[in-house]
Amino acid sequence: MAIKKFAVACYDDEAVLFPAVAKVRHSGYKLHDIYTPFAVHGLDNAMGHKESDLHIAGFIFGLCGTSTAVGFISWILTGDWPINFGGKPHFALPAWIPITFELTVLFAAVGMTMTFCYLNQIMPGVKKHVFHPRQSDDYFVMAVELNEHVNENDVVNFLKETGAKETSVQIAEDSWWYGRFDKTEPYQLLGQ
Amino acid sequence: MHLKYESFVREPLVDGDKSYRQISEDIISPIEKKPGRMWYVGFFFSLALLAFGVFSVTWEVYWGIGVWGINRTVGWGWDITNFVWWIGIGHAGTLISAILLLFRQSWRTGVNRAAEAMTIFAVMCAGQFPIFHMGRVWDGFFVLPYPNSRGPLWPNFNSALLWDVFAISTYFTVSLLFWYSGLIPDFALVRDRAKTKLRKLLYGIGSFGWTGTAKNWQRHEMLALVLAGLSTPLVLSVHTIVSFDFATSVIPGWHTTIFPPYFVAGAVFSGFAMVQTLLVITRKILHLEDYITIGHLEAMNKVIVLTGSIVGTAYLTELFMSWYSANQYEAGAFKWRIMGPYWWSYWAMMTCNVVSPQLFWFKKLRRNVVFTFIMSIVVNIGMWFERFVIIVTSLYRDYIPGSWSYYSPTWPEVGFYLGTFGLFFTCYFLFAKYFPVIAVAEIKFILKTSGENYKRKMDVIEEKPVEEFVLEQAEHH
Amino acid sequence: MSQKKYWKGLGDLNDSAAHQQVAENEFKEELPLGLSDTLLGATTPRRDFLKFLGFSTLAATIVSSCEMPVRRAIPYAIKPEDIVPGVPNYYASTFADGGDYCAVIIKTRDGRPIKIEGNELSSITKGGTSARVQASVLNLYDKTRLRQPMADGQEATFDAIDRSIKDAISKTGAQSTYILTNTIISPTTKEIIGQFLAKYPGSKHVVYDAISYSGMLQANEACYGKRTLPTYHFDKAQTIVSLGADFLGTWLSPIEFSKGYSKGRKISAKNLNLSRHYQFESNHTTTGACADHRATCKPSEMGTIASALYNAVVNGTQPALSSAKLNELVTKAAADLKKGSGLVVCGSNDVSVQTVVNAINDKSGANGTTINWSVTSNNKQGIDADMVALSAAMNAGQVGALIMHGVNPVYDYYDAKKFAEGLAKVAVTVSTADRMDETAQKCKFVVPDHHYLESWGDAEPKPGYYSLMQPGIAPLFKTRAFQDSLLSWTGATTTYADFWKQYWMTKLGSQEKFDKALQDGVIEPAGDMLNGGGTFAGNVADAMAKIQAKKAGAGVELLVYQSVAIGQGGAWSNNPWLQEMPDPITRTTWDNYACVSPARAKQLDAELTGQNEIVAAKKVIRIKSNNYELLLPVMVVPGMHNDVVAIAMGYGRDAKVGRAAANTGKNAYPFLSYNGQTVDYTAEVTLDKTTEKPYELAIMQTHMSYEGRPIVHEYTLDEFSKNPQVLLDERKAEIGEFAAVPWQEEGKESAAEKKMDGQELEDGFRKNGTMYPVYDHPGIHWGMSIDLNACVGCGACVVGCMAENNVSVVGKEHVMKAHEMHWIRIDRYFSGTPEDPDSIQTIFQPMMCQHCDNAPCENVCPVDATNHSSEGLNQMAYNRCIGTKYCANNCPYKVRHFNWMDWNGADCFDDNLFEDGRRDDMNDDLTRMVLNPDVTVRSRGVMEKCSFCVQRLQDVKLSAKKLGRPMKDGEARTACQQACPTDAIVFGNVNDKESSIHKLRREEQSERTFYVLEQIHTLPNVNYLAKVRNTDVIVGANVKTDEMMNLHI
Repeated sequence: MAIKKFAVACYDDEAVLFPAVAKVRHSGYKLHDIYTPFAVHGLDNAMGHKESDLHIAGFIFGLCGTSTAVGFISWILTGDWPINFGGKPHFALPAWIPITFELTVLFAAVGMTMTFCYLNQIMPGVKKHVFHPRQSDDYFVMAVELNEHVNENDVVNFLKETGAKETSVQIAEDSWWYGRFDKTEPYQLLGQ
Repeated sequence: MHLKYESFVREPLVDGDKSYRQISEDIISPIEKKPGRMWYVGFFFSLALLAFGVFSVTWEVYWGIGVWGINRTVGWGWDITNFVWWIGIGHAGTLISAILLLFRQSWRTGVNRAAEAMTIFAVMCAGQFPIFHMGRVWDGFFVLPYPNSRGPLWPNFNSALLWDVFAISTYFTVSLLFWYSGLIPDFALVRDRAKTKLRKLLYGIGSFGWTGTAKNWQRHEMLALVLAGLSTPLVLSVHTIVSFDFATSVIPGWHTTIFPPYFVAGAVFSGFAMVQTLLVITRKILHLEDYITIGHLEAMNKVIVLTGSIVGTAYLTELFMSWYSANQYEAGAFKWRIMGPYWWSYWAMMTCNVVSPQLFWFKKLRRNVVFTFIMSIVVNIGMWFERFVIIVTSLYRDYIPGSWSYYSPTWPEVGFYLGTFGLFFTCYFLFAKYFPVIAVAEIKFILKTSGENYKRKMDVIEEKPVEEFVLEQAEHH
Repeated sequence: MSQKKYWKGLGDLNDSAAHQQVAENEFKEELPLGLSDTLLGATTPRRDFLKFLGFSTLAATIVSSCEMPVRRAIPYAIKPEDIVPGVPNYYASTFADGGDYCAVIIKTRDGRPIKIEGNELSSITKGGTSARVQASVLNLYDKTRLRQPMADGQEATFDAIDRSIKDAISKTGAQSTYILTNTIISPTTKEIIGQFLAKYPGSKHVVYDAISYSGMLQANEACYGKRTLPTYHFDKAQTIVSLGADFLGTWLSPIEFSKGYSKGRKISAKNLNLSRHYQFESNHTTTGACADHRATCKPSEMGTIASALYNAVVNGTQPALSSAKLNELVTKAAADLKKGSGLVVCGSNDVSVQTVVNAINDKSGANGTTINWSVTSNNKQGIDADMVALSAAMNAGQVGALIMHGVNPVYDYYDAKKFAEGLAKVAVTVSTADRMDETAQKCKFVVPDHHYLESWGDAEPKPGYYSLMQPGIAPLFKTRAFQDSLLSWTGATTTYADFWKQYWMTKLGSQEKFDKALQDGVIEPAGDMLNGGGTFAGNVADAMAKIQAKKAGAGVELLVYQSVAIGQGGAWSNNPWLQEMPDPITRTTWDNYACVSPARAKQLDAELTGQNEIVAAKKVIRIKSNNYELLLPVMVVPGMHNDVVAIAMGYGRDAKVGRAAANTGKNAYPFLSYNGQTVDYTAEVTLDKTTEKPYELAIMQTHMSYEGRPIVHEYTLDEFSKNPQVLLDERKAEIGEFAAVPWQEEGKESAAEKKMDGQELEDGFRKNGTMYPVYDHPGIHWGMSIDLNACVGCGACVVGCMAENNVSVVGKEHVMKAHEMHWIRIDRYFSGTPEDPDSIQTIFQPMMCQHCDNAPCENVCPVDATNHSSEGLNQMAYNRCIGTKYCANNCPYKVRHFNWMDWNGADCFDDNLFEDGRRDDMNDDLTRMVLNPDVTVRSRGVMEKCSFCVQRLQDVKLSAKKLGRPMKDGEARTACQQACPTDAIVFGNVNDKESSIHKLRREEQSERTFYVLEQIHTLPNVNYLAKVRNTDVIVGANVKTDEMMNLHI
């Protein structure tokens, strides 16, 4: 949640990107993040990210769904308001399997998607800084955080050496905020 | 660096000399351009159909279900037939995106977006029928489980119809989530390419502020994988539960355990046919032949011939059982299907669903676009008749001959059905105009393994002697 | 008493003029309603209805107790001092429509008659009713009833009309004054007519019945010296031979006969005595459907058959009739008649034929045993020749004044045109019709009579057997009793009510006896009915010669018959309940049609195929007689004689008769002819194909065969008496292996299974035929039993149920869409060879909600709107229903009915019933007065079905509870059970070991008990008793014999 300065390098080939990532990590520069137009397999490993735990959230939500369904239905049909339907017993578990299953899936899917949005901090109205408009098209964009310890030009030159097609230095908000993509933000004017 | 390699035996999934940028250009540019004249014609025709549907439904709600042709014996007619038909169609999208994802079928990437959209629109259409077939549609919310003061306190969780409510709403929700989570990165692409402020604003909102960081993509893949894992049993469960509407009843012709697999196979069958119908048109109009290739169509035709054969086997099994069970009511139900006043519907079903798909055993026909298109429509007609046969011809002559009756639809019923076509195509036209009809990010993902130009580069490797190749690889690591 | 005056306020003390005015006008504010002359014309807002009702009840009570002379109607069973809102009052009364008689009880709720029930104290109708009796309450609220007297088509006052009539009679002369009525069985009315005739010497009273029994009356006069009809004791008959008499449906006194007939049809394994019923007929009647042996003939052959039967009985002559079947049955019948206790009835209106029938009865010893000449019957008194003479006199200008009551000759007289022409020549014409019917339209004065539910009166259906009529409501409109009118024209000053009371006080002797009589409704001699024979003095030879002389033509003959529902027409034509009641045989509503046999239909290109079921539009043919022709749709009826076409009378009414009556069918009366002695209901006709547009008929049941399915069980008496276990064996074969534990190898009977009786089979199946635990049903468990032997298909239950349960009328076009709402339907199945009418056997099966303990409908309702009560009822929460129709689909009996449209105008959608915005007659404020307040009026879009009349059950339970005693068997009765004239329905608590239903199922009729579709384990609470026919073979039981089944029609 802060406005920072970044050196930005754009690559157009995964084959160039991967060595560059390794070099940047090796160099000790603070690798802010890499923006890619599609899921580049192995990039998370290369950047040293752990596996995602999203599926665990899904499992827990699913369990909640199962227990909600079974608990609620059995309470209703055996405890709260037992009724004779066609001579079937009140505790008719086999008949509840479909709804139990559906609720399990529903809870898991909805819960996990919401967790996904929360973790990725995305939702309608959220705005994040776009380092390069082609980062969702064909560029793999690497942002290196600049601070008082590093020289801006050194970093840019270093990045150029790694094979970047384009480089630049940008002042940007490093996190998300509520905003509109058709509006230019004040900090961007600041950087001009 | 890892080697992107796919056997040369497999035909390319992306034709032409494509780069990442070219893919974006090909798929996104229709969104940025004014639509063609055909689009306007199609869109307003769909809108007109939709308006007629709205009129028909309004007529029915105002006067009562009595304006329909259904009656004391045949309580469900076109309404539930169309419901099951649309729901069946709605199965292909999720099947393609979920099951084929789990099976690592990369050809799905060319068609999954449109197929999922079709799923969602088809489920929307399907949902109209159980809603408006209710006598008191304004009281439809009684199915929700909340305490109230209208007789019994809660809904009946033992009713297959309530299972339907849960199944369909869950299916719709999960399909929507699946579809939309895939759309987010593509919306970000449209947003970043956008030249106009409005487009930037709207796609900015639609893209949820997606920037595509490595971690985001990691979670995105995980989400897709788990949703696929959830959707796979879900997609099977939905038509299973729809089949329970019939299978858990006591009516001869309905009361049968074969229904769940039979319905699911039928759903996939009709769903793929509908995808074919749409894609054959879409690829032509939006010039996406490079992404939706003949290979894609053939792959889907193979699924059609498989599921068609399953469905055919199921029909024959039913017939066998009606004889083998030695139950006179069961035998009667099938006798009246085959040679009763509704014989034509049974034979239409048999011809369209069992006989015609067998033609797809011929590779030439599988790869013929025009034939594929015609077959896709024949299959959907056949599958409509299947539902009609199951619903109407089981009811019209059941146990007690004194109550036997006949049913033919009236104009508001037909209008309702046409109206759902209007809804479906209106949605689809809007989708084709405003949404990336092919999952751009996923196509890019497979470009270097399955793109024609990249595969050509691999020919050099293919020509190398094996020993040399192995040696080269060993040196790399 | 002290003269002290108490004052309530200063105003009172000072007694100012203003205060006086206030005091007089107790309700000084305007009422919230416009109580004006146009009250009933106003469209009352729905919400105001209750206000209106509450106020009018209260006002009626106050006003009648304060200002008018009190005339107390004595409640029948329950004796409240006053009207208690919400509690029904019952008044004994009498239904009499011409000679159609029934002792009834009027159920009133909050001052409105809402239901008619049979009076069990009557030894004639014994609590039975007919569809028409049940529906008569709806006629009270008929929108088309005249609301004031009319003179020259204008509204007029009684005074003015009375003055004009008296003037006119004095002007035209008494000799030329005629009173024309239908059969009058009221002694007081007869006396008043007598007074009128005395006052105007030379004036005449002519009796005219639209359905003439003149032939019988004249034959009886010739044979027994009495111009009357005997009483027939069908209960005492062992052999019943009917020559074209539909005595269970329409002939003479069907309620009385059904009661008697069913006594001889109730068979059990312990009592194998079953009467044998031969039916010779031309069309297919309900009576023919019930017969053991049935043969068809042309109507003109009826006399020949009677002669042959006579010869066979007397001389043992072999008959030589037109078909082998006729010969065979005549021989058999004659043999049976000779055994004694025989009874021959004949529907012919021919004097000679009736003479021969009288002779057969005389020879077979029926007189004094099954035919009673000591207590005769007053049901019909009209002599055709009198009417012909009147018509001639009118045309000759010899009639100056004609007062008509209960007749509509312009519509139903055989030569209506001539009558109408004559009517134009009569100076003063008066009709007392309740509506502007065909005759009233041509009359100068119309002085509408009360409806019988608004009238005081009496009836004497048999000499010495009286029945009193008291009103259930004050007259709704400015109408006046016919008797009052006559009294007034006679110049008397008494009212009929006073005259009537005086008459009965004198006759009965004391107020106490009068009260008792009024309370009971009937006055009858003590003990059993006297039974005596008569001395036959008829000239048989002459009659037979006359029959011989009438050469039957070779062509097609037409028979004009009465439909069971609307009978001869009259006001019944405009009764939506009756119009929608399907004909028992054709199952068709809202129309008449040309009934022809399948073979004849083939010649007319209207062949009976499976397509017949699908296409409501029927081919239209031209029926042409010498003087009349009609275009009518073809109705193919198996069992019709191949050379006969039958058309129901009572249709084709004028639009002013009412909306239900208009546009339904065509008038068949002009086909009638006069043979110089009596009116013939037959004619020689030609049938021609036409190119007319096919006409759509609203048929409720389109499939004819029961496809050999074990949903009905029929046995011959022989089969059943040889092995009374035959049905139980069949049931064991079906469900036995699931009832006995452990389950046996398929096809092999286990030892346990072998010795199971009915109860063990049922209990075993209930318990072991499922994977679920068994629900206990302690306390009350309702059950119903329906005897297929007793059911004659008359439809009284159908209409009774409609009246009790506010079942909606849906109209013709919705019947065509199979949207009818009847909670109980009577399925009719034919079996036999369509081409051979004599092979046809017909069976009725009443079908309503079976209240299954394992009800398939309950499982599938998503919102729980239907579920099971602890008393075994399958109940509906209308309020909860959202109308998915899933329950109806999953009902194997298809007895659930959906409210497709806003039948009752009860919904928030304004004025919508039909798509073109039409409303039904049942939807207006007046007609809705007939609704039973105890039963919810269902809104559009909800499912409904038979509730076992749960409102009655609750009522009985609560009354018993209030009295602090357990409910007694027989107290709780459903509407269908009560309406049934044959006691085919038994209802009660099966858990009560002493109840008749329990005894019936477990003891008396355990051999005949079966459940429909027992094998699907729905555990119905309605059982049926198998039909046992006293015949040689059951056609429908065997695929080989039942071609109907093979043809799938």
